[in-house]
Amino acid sequence: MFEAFGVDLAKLAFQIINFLLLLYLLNRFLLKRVLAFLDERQARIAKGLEDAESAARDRELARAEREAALDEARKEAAAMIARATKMAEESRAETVAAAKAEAEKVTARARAEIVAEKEKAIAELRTQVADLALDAAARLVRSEMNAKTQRRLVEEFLAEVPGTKPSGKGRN
Amino acid sequence: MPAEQAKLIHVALKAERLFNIGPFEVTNSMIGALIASVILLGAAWYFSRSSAIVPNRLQSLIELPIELLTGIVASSTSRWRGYVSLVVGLFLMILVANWLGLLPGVGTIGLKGQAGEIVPFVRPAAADLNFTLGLAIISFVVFVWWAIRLHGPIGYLKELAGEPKVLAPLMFPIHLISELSRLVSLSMRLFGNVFAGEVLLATMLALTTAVAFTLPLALFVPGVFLGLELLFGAVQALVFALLTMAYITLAIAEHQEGHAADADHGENVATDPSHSTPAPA
Repeated sequence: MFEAFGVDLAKLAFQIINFLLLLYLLNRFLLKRVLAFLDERQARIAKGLEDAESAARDRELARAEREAALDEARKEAAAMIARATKMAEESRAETVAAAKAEAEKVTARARAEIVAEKEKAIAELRTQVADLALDAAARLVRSEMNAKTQRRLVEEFLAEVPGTKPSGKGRN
Repeated sequence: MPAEQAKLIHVALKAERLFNIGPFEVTNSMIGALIASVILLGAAWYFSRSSAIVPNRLQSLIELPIELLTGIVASSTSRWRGYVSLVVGLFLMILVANWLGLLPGVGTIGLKGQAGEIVPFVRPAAADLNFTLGLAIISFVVFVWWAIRLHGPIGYLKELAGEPKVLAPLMFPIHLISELSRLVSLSMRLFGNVFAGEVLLATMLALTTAVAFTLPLALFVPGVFLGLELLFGAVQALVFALLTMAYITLAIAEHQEGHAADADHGENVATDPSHSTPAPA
């Protein structure tokens, strides 16, 4: 059977030796190197991934720290603003209150002065009017009236004038 | 006309003699095997001369099949580094030898034989049973060696005898034939596929050149079959390499199972870690 396929020991030996030699050289110059490369690449990729992961972790940590610092600063700023606002509010209220009090005081004083002036003016006016009236009446009805009647008439007249009060002076 | 056709379709079953070196007959399939070896050594030379951790295109091309095969072999057993070179070497050698047969001129350019047929200078190496049988013998020796190395010679014979000792006289010859049949199946499968491919291509070439003037489309037919042969060449290389790996894996796995069985029968062996973990290769 082997004869039909042309198999003989020498040719078989040639093929076996050829392949073994080839395998030795391939293993030595190609396969070992390729395997070494594959291993090294795998190691590098693994290391690269690990580095990337740790870098990501560091970045995350830094980010959290920054965030925390920022939060703190923000909170502090907010507190400062609140304090300042409160202070301003207080000082404004104080100023307003003081101004209001001052204004009231001034108003009250002015009002009091006005009342006093008015009183004074009325009293003055009353005396002058009485004198003028007396004078006029005396001139009109000099002969017919005695002093007592005159006096009564004037008093009556004065009582009719609105806004005045009889001074009571000489009523008795 | 029939004589002309017969010459065109001529594909010899055995590799043909080209010349003699002393008493030694040099056949065209030896030339094929040598050229394939030279191509691979050229690749190895290129790789050893200018390879870097970041590969260029040619380096990637060389690494691609090796990486692919290594990935498969590495998933077989923990001792894969002990036999990865053989599996990858078988694959590369068969692949290059097969594809070499598809180059123009291979199988068509040659000497004129005594009967007027062409004796090609180069014949795809795997179209010669010497080549495929040689590789199968290497593969056989290696997987038997793995079995004997891990079992010991007695253990290997016990493995062949099978488990129920009573059936050993029956099972031993069957197992022996089963082992030897691997040798035959490995070599014959590869030889048959490649040789059939050669015959197919020669037949298609003869048919289409005969009718080329009446049917120009027929010129494309050999191209289609060349494409198929490209695929078959790669598949057969992969099959040979992976079967070798599978046989070695079986030899190793049986050994590990054998140990597990020993542990089951022995006393206090299960607690001994040296029995359950294989030594690093």
